[in-house]
Amino acid sequence: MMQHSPVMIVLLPLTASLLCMLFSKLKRKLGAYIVIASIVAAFVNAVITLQRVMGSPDRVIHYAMGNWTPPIGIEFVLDPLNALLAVLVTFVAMVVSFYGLPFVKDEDWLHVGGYYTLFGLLTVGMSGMIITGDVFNLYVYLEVMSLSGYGLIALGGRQSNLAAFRYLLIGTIGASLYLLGVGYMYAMTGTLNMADMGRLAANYLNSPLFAMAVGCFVIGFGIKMALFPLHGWQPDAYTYAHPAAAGLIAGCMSKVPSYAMIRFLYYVFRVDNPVVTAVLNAIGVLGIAGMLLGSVMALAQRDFRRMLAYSSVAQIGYIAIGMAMGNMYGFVGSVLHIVNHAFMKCALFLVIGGVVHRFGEVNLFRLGGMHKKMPISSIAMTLAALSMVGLPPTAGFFSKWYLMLGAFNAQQYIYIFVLVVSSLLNAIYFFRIIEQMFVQQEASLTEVHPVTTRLGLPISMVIPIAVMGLGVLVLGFYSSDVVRIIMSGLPEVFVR
Amino acid sequence: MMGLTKKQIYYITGAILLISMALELCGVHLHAPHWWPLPFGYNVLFGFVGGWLLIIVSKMIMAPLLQRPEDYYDEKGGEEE
Amino acid sequence: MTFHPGLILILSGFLALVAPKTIRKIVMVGGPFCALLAAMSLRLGTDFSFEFINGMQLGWLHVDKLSWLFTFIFCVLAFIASVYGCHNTNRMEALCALAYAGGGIGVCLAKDWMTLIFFWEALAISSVFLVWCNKTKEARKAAFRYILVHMFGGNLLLAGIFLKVNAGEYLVGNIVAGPHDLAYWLILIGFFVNVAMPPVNAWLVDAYSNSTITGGVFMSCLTTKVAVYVLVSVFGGMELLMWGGALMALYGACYAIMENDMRKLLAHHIISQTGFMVAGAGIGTAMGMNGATAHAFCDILFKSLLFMCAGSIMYATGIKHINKLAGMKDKMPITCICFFAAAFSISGIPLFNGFVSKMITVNAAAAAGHDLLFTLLEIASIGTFLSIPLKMGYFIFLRKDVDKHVEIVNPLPKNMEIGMILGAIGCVLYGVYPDLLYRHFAFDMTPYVPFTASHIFSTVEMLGMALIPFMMYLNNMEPHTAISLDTDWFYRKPFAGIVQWVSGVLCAVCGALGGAWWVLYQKFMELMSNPMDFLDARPFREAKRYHPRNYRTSIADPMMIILTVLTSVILYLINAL
Repeated sequence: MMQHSPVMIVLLPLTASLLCMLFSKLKRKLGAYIVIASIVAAFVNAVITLQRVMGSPDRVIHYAMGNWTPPIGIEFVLDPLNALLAVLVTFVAMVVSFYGLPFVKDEDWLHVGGYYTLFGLLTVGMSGMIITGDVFNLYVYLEVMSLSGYGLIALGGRQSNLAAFRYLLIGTIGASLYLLGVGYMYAMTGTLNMADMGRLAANYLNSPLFAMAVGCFVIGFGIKMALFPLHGWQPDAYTYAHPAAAGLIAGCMSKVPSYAMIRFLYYVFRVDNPVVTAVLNAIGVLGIAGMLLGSVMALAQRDFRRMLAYSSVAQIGYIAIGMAMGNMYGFVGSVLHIVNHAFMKCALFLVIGGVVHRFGEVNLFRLGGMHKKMPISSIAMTLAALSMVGLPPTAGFFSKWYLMLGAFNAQQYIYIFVLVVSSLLNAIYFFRIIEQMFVQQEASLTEVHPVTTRLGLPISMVIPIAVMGLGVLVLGFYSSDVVRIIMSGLPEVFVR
Repeated sequence: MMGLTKKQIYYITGAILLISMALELCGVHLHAPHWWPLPFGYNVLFGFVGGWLLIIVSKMIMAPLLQRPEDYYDEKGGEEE
Repeated sequence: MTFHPGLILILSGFLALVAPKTIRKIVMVGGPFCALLAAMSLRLGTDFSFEFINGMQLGWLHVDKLSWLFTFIFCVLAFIASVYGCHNTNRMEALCALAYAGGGIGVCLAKDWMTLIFFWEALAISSVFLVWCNKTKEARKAAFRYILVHMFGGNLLLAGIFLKVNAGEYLVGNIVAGPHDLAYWLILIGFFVNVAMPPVNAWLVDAYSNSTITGGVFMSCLTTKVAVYVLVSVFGGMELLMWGGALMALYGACYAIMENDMRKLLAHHIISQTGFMVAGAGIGTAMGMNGATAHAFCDILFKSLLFMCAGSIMYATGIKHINKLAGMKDKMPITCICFFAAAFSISGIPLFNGFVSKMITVNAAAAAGHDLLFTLLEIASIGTFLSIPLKMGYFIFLRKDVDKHVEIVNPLPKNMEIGMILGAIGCVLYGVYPDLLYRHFAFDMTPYVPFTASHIFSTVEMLGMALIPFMMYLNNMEPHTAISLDTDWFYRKPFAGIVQWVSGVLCAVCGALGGAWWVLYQKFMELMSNPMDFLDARPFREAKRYHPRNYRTSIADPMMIILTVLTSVILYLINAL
């Protein structure tokens, strides 16, 4: 049974999501529980797979679907990098799936079933995209992830329809660009298997077709991961997403395409050819711009969620410059930041989701004195905010440290400067929130869903928030373990 | 100040001054910066001139330049709410 | 058993946060007392460390003579200030104040740069929260500016430390003799921010005068003195510090003579006294650095006492402006006595502890041959005498209350009085028996004898004569109801406007790129009809106030941007072949 653990990561939530509506028709919340159980099982499988990967001799597991051997068949390839990210994605999905229960408590069977179907499919798409070893299979999972994402955003209320539609159009452009790139590469190499394509593409590294394909890949992924200035869909999407799903959407949905970009650039195409080196420079420039401008735009916002969305643009910039440095430390910093940022952003969106659920208020200047009403959420938010600023011993400090190490070793000191400035800007807008929560007079807010317990929120929302908040701290203390896992799966070639 | 009039203070200060200058004459060795030609009565002069100079600079020169009414930094009309 | 006093303080802070009301007072006072005992039991040469990433060792408890002295006095301060403040019901404040003190001790006991930056950041964060505990609108804004400045300094320090650690130097040590590279200057600027060297000094006056009464006592003595400690150990002997210190000493003294708000005046004085210490560190001789240490030690005692007295007056009468107070000698006698004990200490009058410490620094300047520095520091001492015992002492305590009619609104709780008396005892104790301090000096020097006739006479004469100009200008010395502009003008006035402007520009660029062709067409047509309309830039005009509509993009804009970026990236890549 254990050797099927890779496919179980994807198969279990897929089955549960497809059956969810059926079960919800029978008994309203049954479908939801089935999906949640399947995601828990997927998480367990992901952990088992990670252990297997770390225990295997060359740290790679190949799983051929239906026993069709690659390169004809589709296979899942797991090395430490994507096993780690699979654990991350399933963990966050598991936590957020519990978090979503109070939101759908009062809905009818169609909405409960629909929400959890989409949620399960989102998890399937993300995990599949991470662990697949086939280029077209990645497109399939990319679309699964995107479509369910569009659906979850559209569930958020009245204004979300336009946001979801916009994201639909722009995201489809991104996916189509990716598919275009796949088409070019298939025409050149004749194979769709990633490892095979990488091997065969070595003959075509100097052709203009290759440059076009890489360009399409990068822009396609850049759109999906909201790299500046391709991020136009993101602020509205995060702002108007369904509050229960926003944690997963903001936490993981933009990280998986960045993982895919890393996979293609570092592992498949290798970074030692002129085209990829040039595209890394381009990514670096866009990353710097994103860090600075995203932070400035975040400063000007009043809606909490929009501010977090612009902050995500800045944080994706961190990941981008880590990629652009092209050396080991930059790579480690980039991947570490993917892990850390997923936790931080998820924690922040879970907290604001709780505020929206209980009070219906999103203007950050009207959240005064929140620590009395929602103490655990305030603490989790403070931890996440301190981590975004990059203060030890929270997790954000370590990814910042590795990024600075990478910049130093690559002698690109501009990155260090931008990191410092960006931390300063982050400090400003996050401390504004902390100040509102802890110091301001208690704002008079009307309770939409009144809560009488001392915790301030229903228990199935408090526990995820607490887990995510503590996770930020735990990841900080155990960052050396995470880095060890990443370092055991490094790509073979670096630029510097 | 302490129930004393200005005149009484001047007298007391003058007395301290005279006593210390007399004691100096009796051979008390002073620390003095080396380019100051007068070791005698140096501290007295320094105290007076220094204090006078500080008050002049602060009150007459710096204050008119730098002082503003207390609500100088308050923004006109609401800012954030 | 050795315990880290800083960690004990942080722990007692957390205990005070959750302790029920009945035992909270005990925790708040008992915690610092245990820390004090721990500090006194620390042996020289203790060296604890633990392993971190990349095999780096974090030395978190390293005791040498210098760090022990500072740790000791910080624990004493924490104890006295906790006694003073244990009537407070604000739990957050207890946590922040104690964590703040613990962080300061952590910096002193740190052996390597990573531990130092960790506790440095903890110091900054807890002090921000401490200012926030005041809950007034002014305090919030002051805390905000405080964050700006301290994050700026902290990040520069982090960058400098990062460069140093990468070059392989992990341990905190004197780097003046090493290369004056980027890391050197970054770390120096980071320290300068915390020590309140002009031009980055405005945060001190701003934040300390807006903090709570008990918070102010903690704050007055920690951030700057911790920075002095690191300056002495890392930059001891750097010439720039001498002149910087002299500048600070005079700057603070002049502003204090003008100032009206009691705590702002004392905050300016912190800058002034810290200037003495910085100058002492800059002189670099053993006498100078010992002088800086001794002055830090004594300054903590008398400065905290001054803040306690000012706080008591504010608590009792609700007034914080000097020109509204009078005649407190009869209304608050204990406060008056303690105030004068502190005031005489700070001026360096014999028999109080300022005399035994300030004179070391000043004489070190003379002994090392820096005559100009000696003169400047002496002038600054006179300024100190003018503003605190004379100005504050006269206008608040000694003059008769004829027209102010100051009333005691809240009588002082006993613990505040006990705290002040403890502080006064400290001031006098070291003033009378200075050897208690001298025997702990970190740097070897020929023993300094404070009570020589020449020292006493020069002080008495100088200060006595300074009395005369004060008397001459007595009426003018009364402060006006006004604030003084400082270097923070530069970031207070323009900042919000810049943020709005930049985001407005960004939105305008985004919209312009998206609708590029359409706008071009439109403008062209309009230009044909009326050229003056070309100057109508609507995105700029509408971006003045926040409006969510400005930030919502249409569908076309992102698409145009994507197209633009796509074509440029592909062209760039093909070009790179």
